[in-house]
Amino acid sequence: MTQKRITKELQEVLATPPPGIKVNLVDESNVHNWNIIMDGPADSPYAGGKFQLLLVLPPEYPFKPPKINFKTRIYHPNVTFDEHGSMCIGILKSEAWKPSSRIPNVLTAIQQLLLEPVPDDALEQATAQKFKEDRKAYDKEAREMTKKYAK
Amino acid sequence: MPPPNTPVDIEPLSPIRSSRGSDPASIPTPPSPAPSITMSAQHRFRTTEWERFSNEPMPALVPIGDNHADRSRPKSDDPVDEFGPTETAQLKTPFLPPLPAAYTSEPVFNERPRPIESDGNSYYNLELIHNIDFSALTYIGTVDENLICSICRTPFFNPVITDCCHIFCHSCLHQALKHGSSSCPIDRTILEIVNEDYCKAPTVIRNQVDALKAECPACSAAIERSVLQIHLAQHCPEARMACPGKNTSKGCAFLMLRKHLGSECMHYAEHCPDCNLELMAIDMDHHRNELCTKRIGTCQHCGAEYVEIHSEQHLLACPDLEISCKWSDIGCDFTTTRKTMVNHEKSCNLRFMGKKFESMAKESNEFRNEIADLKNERNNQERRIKALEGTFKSIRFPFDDISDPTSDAFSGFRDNTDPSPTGFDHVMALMDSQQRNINKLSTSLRELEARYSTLLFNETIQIRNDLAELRSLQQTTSMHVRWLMQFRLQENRRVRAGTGLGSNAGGSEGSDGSPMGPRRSSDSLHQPPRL
Ligand SMILES: [Zn+2]
Ligand SMILES: [Zn+2]
Ligand SMILES: [Zn+2]
Ligand SMILES: [Zn+2]
Ligand SMILES: [Zn+2]
Ligand SMILES: [Zn+2]
Ligand SMILES: [Zn+2]
Repeated sequence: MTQKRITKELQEVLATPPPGIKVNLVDESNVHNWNIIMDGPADSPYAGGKFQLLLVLPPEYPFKPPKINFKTRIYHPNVTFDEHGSMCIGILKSEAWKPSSRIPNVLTAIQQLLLEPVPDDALEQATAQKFKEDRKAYDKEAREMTKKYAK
Repeated sequence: MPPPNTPVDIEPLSPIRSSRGSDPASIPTPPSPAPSITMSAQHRFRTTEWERFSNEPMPALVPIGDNHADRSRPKSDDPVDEFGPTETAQLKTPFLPPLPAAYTSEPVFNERPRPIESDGNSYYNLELIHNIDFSALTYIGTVDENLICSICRTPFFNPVITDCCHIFCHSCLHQALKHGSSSCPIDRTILEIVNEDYCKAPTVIRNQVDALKAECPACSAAIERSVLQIHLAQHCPEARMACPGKNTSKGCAFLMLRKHLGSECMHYAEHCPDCNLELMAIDMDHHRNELCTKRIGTCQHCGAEYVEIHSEQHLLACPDLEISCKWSDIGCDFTTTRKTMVNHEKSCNLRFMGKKFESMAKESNEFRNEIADLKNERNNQERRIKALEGTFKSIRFPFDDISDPTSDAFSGFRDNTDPSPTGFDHVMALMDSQQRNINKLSTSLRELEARYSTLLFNETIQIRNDLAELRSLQQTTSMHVRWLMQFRLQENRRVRAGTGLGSNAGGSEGSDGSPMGPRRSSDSLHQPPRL
């Protein structure tokens, strides 16, 4: 069933992708690894950037949440600023995950996170600090990093 | 009191499961013979006692399905590697197209092989279990979003409902609960489901999903989902069936499509005449046409290329093949290539005779055909006459004992100068005579009825008279009895009075005695017989 549900969702996402998102498979023969290109939201310091993410659907999907990482470096309190690009997002926490949730929900949640970081649940404490104390400096830094990495 | 989990408006969970028996909670999934046990195993319909079956020695079952190809793969040092994968795929395809996703595993025999021949050869029942993966079906048109399970994203299969009134496929909810917290996959309400006691979704929902039409996974026809199983088991031309082993003395353990059931069993190994590869006879044409490495041959006469299997057709048309003159059977022994033969035929010495001969042959052929036709017709007529005679005999028989004027219909019929009456006339005559017979029978029936009723009437009159006489006798007897009773009463009274009042005894005797005299005299006329 996992396979079929993933195939179905992939077809749906390919047919009507959420705005600002492109999806393709890393390897055509494996529907579990999705390559995602996400545009930085217009009203955020990430605007203009194109962020690559890797979405991995576990064999237990949809009963276990998918894993998603930023492949493109991003300056954001809730994403580690390293090659892993690990992310902390509510919808993907296993105690919050619902089998009825779907990939487009996850992707729009990430877009939302780019618009509104959650500094209280941060992975990058320094960034969170800056976000809370000096929003302008944070925005500037984020814009620069976007220019640097997310082209 | 209803169990706390059961919403009120839901039909109670009954012990009777859906007739399709697909409910994994009630039917333990038998060990699957298929190598891939997918999640859809719960959707499989099985009624077979596979365990019992699998205890049997099963060598004959091995070739079914995917092993088909392995069996016929060459064991020797044939050039397998060169075209191994294609070959394997090809060996299965021509008569068994690859299984579609929704028609998952190979069918399983639902009955033990039963021996038919005394030599112990087995015969396989043609009924197979056809497994459908309902989550992989393609539905016709767009399905109402409300009928789609949020877990598998396909229309509900065997839907169940939670306390929080969310509906899921039985297997989807079951898996969701198995995979972690016991909460609703939609709103995370804690569900208290013990012993897999799921509450069935309302019948309205079940009926709606059962009525959905889906493509048959084998033949793509649009079939109502609830009858898909029956369709595959009984009607689908593309469904897999056990080969009945036609024209073989032994049973056959391979599968074929239902639409091919009528053809001969071709499940035996053969060597390709071109490349010597050993493969199933059933796949030979496809192999020789498309896959054989040595399928392309070159004509030794004209140098043209052709597919080996069609070499004979080529020779029939090859322009450089040496052929003999077409009048060879009347004496021309000239031979040349086909393309130059045209010139010879124009100048052949025997061409006039040949043409005459040809037309004569044609004519005699026509005659022969005509004679054959006539012979056929005559046979047919003879058969018909015999059949008609038989019919007459059998029809006449029941009326033989009745001297029947209507039987003239038949005799007239038989003496008819027309030797072959049309079927319609014949039937009409039969009906006429039948009608007359019926009329006659009903008349005689009516006569008999009248006679019997008179007879009955006469008998009854006698009995009625006797009855009247008996009745009058009985009346007289009862009158006597009454009189005697009265007399006895008076006697008693008189005795009592005599003992009480001696002075009145004489007077009362006198007054009582006087009416007795005439009464006795009148009664004596009807003196009943003494008993
Ligand atoms: Zn719920
Ligand atoms: Zn489902
Ligand atoms: Zn069909
Ligand atoms: Zn066969
Ligand atoms: Zn060959
Ligand atoms: Zn030739
Ligand atoms: Zn000639």
